[in-house]
Amino acid sequence: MVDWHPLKRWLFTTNHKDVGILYLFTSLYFFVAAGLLALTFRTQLAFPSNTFLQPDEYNQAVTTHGLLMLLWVLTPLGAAFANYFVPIQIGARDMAFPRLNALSYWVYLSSGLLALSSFFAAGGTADWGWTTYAPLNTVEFSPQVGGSMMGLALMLLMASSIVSTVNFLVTIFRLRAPGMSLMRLPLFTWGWIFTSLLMLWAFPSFVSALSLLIADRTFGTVFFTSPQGGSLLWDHMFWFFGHPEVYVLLLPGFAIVGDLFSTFSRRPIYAKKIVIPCFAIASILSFTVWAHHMFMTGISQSLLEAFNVTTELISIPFAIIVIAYILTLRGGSIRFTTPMLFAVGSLGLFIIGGVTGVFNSSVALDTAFRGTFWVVGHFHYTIVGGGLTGLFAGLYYWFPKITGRMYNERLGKIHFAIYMIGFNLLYFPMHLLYDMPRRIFTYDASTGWGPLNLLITIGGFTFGISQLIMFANLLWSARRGPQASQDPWGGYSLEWGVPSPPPEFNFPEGVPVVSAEGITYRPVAAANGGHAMANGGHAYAGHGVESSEEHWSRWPIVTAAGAGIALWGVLMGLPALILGTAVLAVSFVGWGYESLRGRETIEAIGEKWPFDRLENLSLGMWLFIFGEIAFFGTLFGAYVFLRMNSPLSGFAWPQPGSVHNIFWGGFNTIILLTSGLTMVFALMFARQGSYRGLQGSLVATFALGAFFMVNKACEWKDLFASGFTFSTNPASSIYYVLTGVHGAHVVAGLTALTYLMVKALKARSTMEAGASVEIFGIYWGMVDAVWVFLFPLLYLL
Amino acid sequence: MKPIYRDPGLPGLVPALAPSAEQWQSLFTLYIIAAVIVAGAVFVMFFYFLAKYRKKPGAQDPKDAPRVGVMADRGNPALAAILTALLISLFFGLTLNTFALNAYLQNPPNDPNALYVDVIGFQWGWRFVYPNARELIGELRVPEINRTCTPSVRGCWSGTVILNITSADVFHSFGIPDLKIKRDAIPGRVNQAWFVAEQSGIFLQAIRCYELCGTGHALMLADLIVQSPDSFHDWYLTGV
Ligand code: HEM
Ligand SMILES: [Cu+2]
Ligand SMILES: [Cu+2]
Repeated sequence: MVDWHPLKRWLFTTNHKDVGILYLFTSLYFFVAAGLLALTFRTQLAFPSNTFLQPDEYNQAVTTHGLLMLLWVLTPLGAAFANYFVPIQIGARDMAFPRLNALSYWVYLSSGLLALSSFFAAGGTADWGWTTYAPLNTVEFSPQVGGSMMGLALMLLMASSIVSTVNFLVTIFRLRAPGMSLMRLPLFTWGWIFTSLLMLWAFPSFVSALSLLIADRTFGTVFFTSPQGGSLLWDHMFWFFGHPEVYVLLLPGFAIVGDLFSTFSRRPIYAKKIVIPCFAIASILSFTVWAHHMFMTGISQSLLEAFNVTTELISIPFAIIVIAYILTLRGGSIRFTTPMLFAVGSLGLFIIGGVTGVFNSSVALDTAFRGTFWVVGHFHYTIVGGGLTGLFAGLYYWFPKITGRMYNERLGKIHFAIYMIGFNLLYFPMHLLYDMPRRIFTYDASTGWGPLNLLITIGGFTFGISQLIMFANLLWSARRGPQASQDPWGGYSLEWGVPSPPPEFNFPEGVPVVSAEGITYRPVAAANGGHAMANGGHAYAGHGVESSEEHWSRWPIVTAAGAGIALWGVLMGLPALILGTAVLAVSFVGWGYESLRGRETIEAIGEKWPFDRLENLSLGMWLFIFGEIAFFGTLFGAYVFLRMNSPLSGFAWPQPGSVHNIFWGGFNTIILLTSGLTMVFALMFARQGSYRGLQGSLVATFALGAFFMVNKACEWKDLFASGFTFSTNPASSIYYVLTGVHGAHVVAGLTALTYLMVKALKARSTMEAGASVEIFGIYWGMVDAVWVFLFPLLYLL
Repeated sequence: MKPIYRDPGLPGLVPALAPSAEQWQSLFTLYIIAAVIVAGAVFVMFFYFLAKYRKKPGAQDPKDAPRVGVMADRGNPALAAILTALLISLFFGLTLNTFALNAYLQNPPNDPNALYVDVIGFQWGWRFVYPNARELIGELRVPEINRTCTPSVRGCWSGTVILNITSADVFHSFGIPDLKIKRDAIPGRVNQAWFVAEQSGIFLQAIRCYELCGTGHALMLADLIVQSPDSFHDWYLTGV
């Protein structure tokens, strides 16, 4: 590592390993915060009729605990390892987009701070449970501004995850070392591929649900207050995200367990070629089971049965993986060091959680379980037992690689023993409380629930205290532990072939080349005319980040701060909003300026299948559009839902032409489609090398896009004047949200166009701008395509 | 009137109050047996391997031990197919039983002597409205089963209770754990649930809300009072 001032290193780094460490500390910080919250409400429940917490405090603690643990702890802890190790495991020297990677982290942090600050807002934070059921989540029943702040924090976090997801997928698909075929990737990297794909599809759906919620809470739309939308609209939107989300929580830890079983038993993973497709099948099926969270909502009997069956089906791939993991041990020579103990624990606990899941999948049994502590027991066995325990296994496993020192084995084993005892005391008795509603702040002694609750609370404290042993062990060992060797476990993924900790660009001996015989390093100079760097860390030719001097940027943290402040300002007042927006604007200029100097990306050097033909940036754009499809798709789904339910309580959806002016809408459609055409011209001119043609087409595109927005604004103004406002009815609400988010996409496009025009102007040639023009063209095409759906939906039907 | 009865909250200890609860209990037992057998077999194999293949002092690594960059192929894919087939047939059996109970729970009998009650959840309590507009808050009175009251007899209470459940404000969930009955109370929608009670008595706080609905969620309780058909009818007519 170059000698940077620590502040510069930790605030401005774009090195994936530093970013990983930042994720690690931040997620563990939130782990402690969310854990302490849990101890407060477990204290409250320890005795019948206890008065340790007030009801509203209880509800806020439960809600924040759930949201923090799920979204700000578990996934980011997985992301910490993914950041640190996925690039090394695939044989790359960094992520495809190092600056965006840093941006994801800082936006994650700023969203977490926003979430925490909502606690201190007047009236407290969200108090509706992590599932945020409607209409309890609307201003009528939960007016506190902290609730909206939590909503915005969630949106910001989703944005961070989506950016990170695109980055990881491009990295894994395009930056693999020579010979590193997809099937050779370790399970952890595979797990992260599926986690990313799930996030890419599920998180945008959550963003659309949150958009509707925030529109309801701040602009007075009526999605969740009207019977047409109401409770069930939220339920569908939330659980369509919610079920895949629980796999997002599980997969990273679950995948680590597979790698560890192999490493510590000294045997290859059993049927790895089946295990990976099973991950894929489970991921796909996870989008088909969401209504198993809605068994009691009154959906039809045939749908109940259908979701019952899909839910059972999804347990089959998991069962196969579990069996494959166990068979991995066969014929091995198992070493029970701490990482392996946690891996074993994780699998054992996950089996129990999977079995109770099958109980839940039975619509008839679920009549009793829904909304009770049984469900709480089930999902803690899967998420905490399976997911978190697996991640802790990973923490011990990679600790020597990250720090270069060994943790204390005996303390690790003590941690494991207390962890398992605490865990089972905490979560097993919950299954016996299958009549006790979850999220109640008190209960009467006559229920007989007292003793089990006391046991659970004791288990909770035991479980909590066991973590202190781990923190003490790791913090102490990071400084004082004995030196660790390069490969203390006999691991098979590439990080065990490089020093502990790895140097800045990961592979000091050259480009790793993987083959069936093992790994060799292609020496520095041989890499097609590449040049060795003095710092010795760099063995690759190409563009992009070349050296330590370029391995940092000050803009990610600035952008994240701007975004956080601006969102805070949306609720807390204009000065903060203006300040945040100003900071954001400055940071955009900064990013643009840095990009003009050409620091976009790490280039591909090896395996790129199946995306050989796409550049990193265009693959990134296509993946982003994949997410956009989920985003708009869910909003369209909301539209369809509202319309299908419009007869409820006698509301008549407005006839075509009665509210919206079809002529103006059609005119605007033509404008936007024309701008798509000029964008095609821009691309053509860029390819032909005509600078003037390019610049002219870009300006024309900009003008048409801006004209579209002006038209839109006039339309909104007229509609408002005629009494068709945000809150008029479900039809008006969805009209404003759909055209609003589409308009926001147009505005974002215009901003990017500005950058393109400057870039073309500066270069005075088309060469440099060509690739960016193409990528922008993909985006602009999507914005047009969305409108092609919106126009008939909103104006003609 | 029978003494006050309470559910101690532990499985297996609940004397059956109603057919819905009995059937639930036997379905649950079926699932438990399947789970114990399947998970038991998996755990036995798991722990057996862990014990058998633990590292012996001085043992060499297996020949195909993974090393950096190399992971040998291993395993028999046919196993996955067998496992899938086994699980599907197991689920098939379990699911048939589930569907039978589900059909029972979902479809109230066509019984002209059933008692219909509108159940309205509100922050924080339950309102029960009877066909003659009699209203109760925090207390649901129903007649005990009356086997002589068949559909051909008129003007009697058979003991079938059909609930039309909705909410006046937020999402609640109406549950009677002793009867294994539950249905969400959703504003703007009506959901149906039904039961027959076989045991008369005053079941204090037998009715609870199962969806977080605000600060009073824990206190959203109601009593269930199961009376003999005659005394229920007296109350129904006179309110005392
Ligand atoms: C192995 C097969 C699994 C099946 C068949 C299954 C089934 C179910 C069902 C039917 C429910 C709804 C229960 C109810 O609300 O009444 C549920 C809830 C839940 N499951 Fe699973 N599950 C399985 C595995 C998992 C895994 C792997 C995870 C996470 C890693 C998970 C996390 C959750 C969570 C978080 C909830 C509760 C959400 C809430 O209400 O707050 N489950 N599961
Ligand atoms: Cu689910
Ligand atoms: Cu409630």
